[in-house]
Amino acid sequence: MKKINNYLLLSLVYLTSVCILFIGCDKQKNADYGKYTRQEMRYYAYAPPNIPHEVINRRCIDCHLEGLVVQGFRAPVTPHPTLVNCEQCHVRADQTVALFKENHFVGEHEETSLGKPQPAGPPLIPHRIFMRENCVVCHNDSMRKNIVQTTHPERSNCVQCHVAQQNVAEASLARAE
Amino acid sequence: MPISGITVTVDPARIEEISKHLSSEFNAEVSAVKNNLIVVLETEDNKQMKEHFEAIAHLPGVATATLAYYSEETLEIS
Amino acid sequence: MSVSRRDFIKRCAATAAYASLPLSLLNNKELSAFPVEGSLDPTLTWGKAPCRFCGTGCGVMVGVKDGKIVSVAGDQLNPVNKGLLCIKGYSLPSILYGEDRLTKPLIRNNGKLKTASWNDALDLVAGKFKESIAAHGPKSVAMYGSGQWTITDGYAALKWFKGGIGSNNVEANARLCMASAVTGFITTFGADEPMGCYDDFEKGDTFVLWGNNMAEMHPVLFSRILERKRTASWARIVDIGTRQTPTTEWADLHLSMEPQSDLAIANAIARHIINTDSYDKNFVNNHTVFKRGKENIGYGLEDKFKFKESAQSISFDEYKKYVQKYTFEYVEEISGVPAAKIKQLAEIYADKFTKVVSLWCMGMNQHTRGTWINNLVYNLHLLTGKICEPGNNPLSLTGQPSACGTVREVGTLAHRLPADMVVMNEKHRKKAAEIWKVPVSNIDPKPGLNTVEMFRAFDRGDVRVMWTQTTNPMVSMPNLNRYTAGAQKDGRFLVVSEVYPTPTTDVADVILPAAMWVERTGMFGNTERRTQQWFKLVDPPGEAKPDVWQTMEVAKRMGYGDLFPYSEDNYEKELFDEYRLFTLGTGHDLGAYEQYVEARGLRWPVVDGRETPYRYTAKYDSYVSKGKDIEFYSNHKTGGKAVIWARPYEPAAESPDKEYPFWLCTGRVLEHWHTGSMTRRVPQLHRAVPAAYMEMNPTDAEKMGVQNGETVLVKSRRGSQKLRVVLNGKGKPRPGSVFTPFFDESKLINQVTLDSYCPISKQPDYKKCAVRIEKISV
Repeated sequence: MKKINNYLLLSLVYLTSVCILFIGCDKQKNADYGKYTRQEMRYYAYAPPNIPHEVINRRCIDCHLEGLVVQGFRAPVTPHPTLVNCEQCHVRADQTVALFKENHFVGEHEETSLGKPQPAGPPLIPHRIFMRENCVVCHNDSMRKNIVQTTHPERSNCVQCHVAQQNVAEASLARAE
Repeated sequence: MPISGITVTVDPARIEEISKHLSSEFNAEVSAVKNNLIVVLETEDNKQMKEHFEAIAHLPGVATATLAYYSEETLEIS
Repeated sequence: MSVSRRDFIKRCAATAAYASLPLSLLNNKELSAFPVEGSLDPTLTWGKAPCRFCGTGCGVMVGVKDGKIVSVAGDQLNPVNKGLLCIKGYSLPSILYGEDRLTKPLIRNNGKLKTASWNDALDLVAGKFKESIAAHGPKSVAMYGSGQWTITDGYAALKWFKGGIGSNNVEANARLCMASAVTGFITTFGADEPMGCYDDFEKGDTFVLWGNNMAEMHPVLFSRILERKRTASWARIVDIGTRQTPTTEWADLHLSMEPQSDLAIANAIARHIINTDSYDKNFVNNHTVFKRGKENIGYGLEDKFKFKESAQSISFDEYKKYVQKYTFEYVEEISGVPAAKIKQLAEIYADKFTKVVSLWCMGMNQHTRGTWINNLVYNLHLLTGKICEPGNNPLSLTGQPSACGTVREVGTLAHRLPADMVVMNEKHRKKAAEIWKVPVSNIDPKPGLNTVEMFRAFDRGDVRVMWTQTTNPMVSMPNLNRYTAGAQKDGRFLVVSEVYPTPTTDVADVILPAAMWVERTGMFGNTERRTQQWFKLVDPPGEAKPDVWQTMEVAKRMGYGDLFPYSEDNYEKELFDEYRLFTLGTGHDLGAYEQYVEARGLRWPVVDGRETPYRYTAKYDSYVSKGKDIEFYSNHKTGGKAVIWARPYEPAAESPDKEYPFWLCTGRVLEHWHTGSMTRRVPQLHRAVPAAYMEMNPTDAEKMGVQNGETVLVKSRRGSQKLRVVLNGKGKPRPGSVFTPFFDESKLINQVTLDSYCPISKQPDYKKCAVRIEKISV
């Protein structure tokens, strides 16, 4: 009798934990990691990206300060870690929610590539750098499938060679060291 | 003797004041194009260049200071 | 390096820097000559503007392509936000493009709306006004505007009504938002608007937030506080509130208080300052007087409620005696805040070396004793002398983008004229009449109806014709059922200028399509007295027109054409130039229009072309008399001194009881602006917060057997709403309290609220009334 009871207990525990595991993972079901292009994540080029996953707790920094890998995707490292009130700009816009009214806005996005001024030289930066001064967050992360990766991550002063088309990067000398 | 070229965007009301300040305090060559200043700085070493750059970026009336050109060579005596 | 090589390198440096400058800047002559910040997409046309939303007044750069807004960037050159925005600011491009934008005038006939020409619509409106004035007098018509009106929108309405028609029934929704702040300023300092400015955020040591959720409501300013905390390790945030909010998470000290008990807490702090001898004797002696006003002053619940203050001067000792009853233990009983915490807060104010910035918004203003609590927080800064210097100031935060610039400065309130003048004062009427070139007898010396009384009068029929612009009273009025029903009675005529259909347009007789934000040239004035200008950047849709144009057209059709002799394509500047005349030499001086075109705003008074960051102090303010260091120069009655008011704690208008055991508090969320007519039409904002809900304390929910996500009925003596319960939302109310945001026009929580108001400011209290929660059986 005792043996059977133990067995039952054990299986119950096992089943429960499996269920919990599934339920827990279920929470991630509403997460769309890495699926969207840069343009789809934001309304227009200078808008902050929307949050593509359900917000479970509000400690964004836990994943986004150092780029925790979740379900095969690296959480984008925030390029502006000193701005700590994340929810001020980044909202969870759940795409499954029906709209109140349609909106005809069409946002302007940036070129994804502007080529190189000289064939052997460095490519231009096609996008605005304000609040995106930490290049390696995107350009040294092999998990980012649609972003060009640097061939020379050991050179840390990117803006010495790569310039933005309309203005040289707003990076200060301090970052060069 | 590092030399750098910097673009500085300033509050248009203070462009004269800041130009004068830059040329006297930092011994810089300053020219203005609309409301941007083209500043050429020469310093003793990298550390001083960094300090000057930070100081310029934090001047009241300066919105942004951007490094456009940076060159460093050892001094030859000719 | 030889000299010539050195020269060469320098030339390279200069050339590289030059080459990196933006190429073409402006191809629209209307845009400001001020150059665009370098790293913006050069294929778009960019122009500066203040944000359309809150009273922070962030600067934005608006990117236009093919006649449409396609992008917005934070304006890095604007000292308010230095390039940072919040999600509403980032959503600005889309607010113009909701699918159901109003584009043609509409007239309601037999319950059905039909499109009409501007001529017909304006003729009809002018006719109705004329008719009502002829039959029932100027008091039978009313204009209800907005803190989101531009300066000229408000000025034209004011001039038409007060200088032309002779009616003082001009009000604005800022009465529901900032009136207590105004009366707080006037009764304490003799003049409206803060003495400090946003520079205080970089200089303050402790930021005390009195019932305001800055992380959601003034997020960019809150970011400045967070940056201050990051760079000055001793900086602290104190959060005083009736509910935990996202702001609470950043606070070093949180005081969870019973609603209304802020009055007691402030008095307890004052008592501590005096008893520990921490008050600044010099400052108190030289710059303050003590007064005590009427007490037990009622709640504005009765129609035609009247209140008249009668104040007596008291001595310092009498004031000291007055506050003695507010011991920490006594206040703990009233507020629920542990005495030790109140003492901790008191010591922050009392400490000579801690620079304190007190900040507040709706928690203190939407309050049946709103004027009193404003006075009481000022008392703390006056007793300690922590005022009029950088980092040491009480800063009343403004809710709307131009409640200051338009409603308070232009004076679109029932008793007001521009530049803090009032209709009751003969000299003031004379000055207005002179500038307006009308006989002084046109201006009625008796104040008109304040907002709540105005809608009550509309319900009773004493007001028959009302015109609302840029506001949505059929969502935002407290005790809403009465006023919605009132507006639909026979013999009432409601004209609504709007951009989208709303519950207010639903009951309108005439709907006039309005131009929005950068679809017209305009000016706003923000919290810190910064007036900002923008040019029209895109065309409004269809036949939509700016509010100011609509007002002038109706006025002209009524025969007031000579009040508006401005040119068709430059009336914005001409109106402003005329309005500016009111301000010169008063301490509210505005600069020249051209200055505002160039600058990222200027803080008034603008004297000799220079702005004033700090008022009342000789170091920065040229209006301070020679020889004085601090002078509240607008307070003539007290000889330039501020008033320390003895004000008591008094309970709320309707506290919870056995039948209705919960407090109901209403407010906003970050993602939605006010009644949601703009932000709910932005997909990302709507999807972030699609519907209104009710926050409940988890312990209360458990007691009642209410689950997270369950729909319950929240009911008051006036109305009820079915709402979904949220137990793990952004905010957590105290036990015995619930909270609902008011942005959702399908969940009109104002049907439940109470139209009590502060008898002095006439501002309603949206934060306190009694409700009960009922489970809904399935």
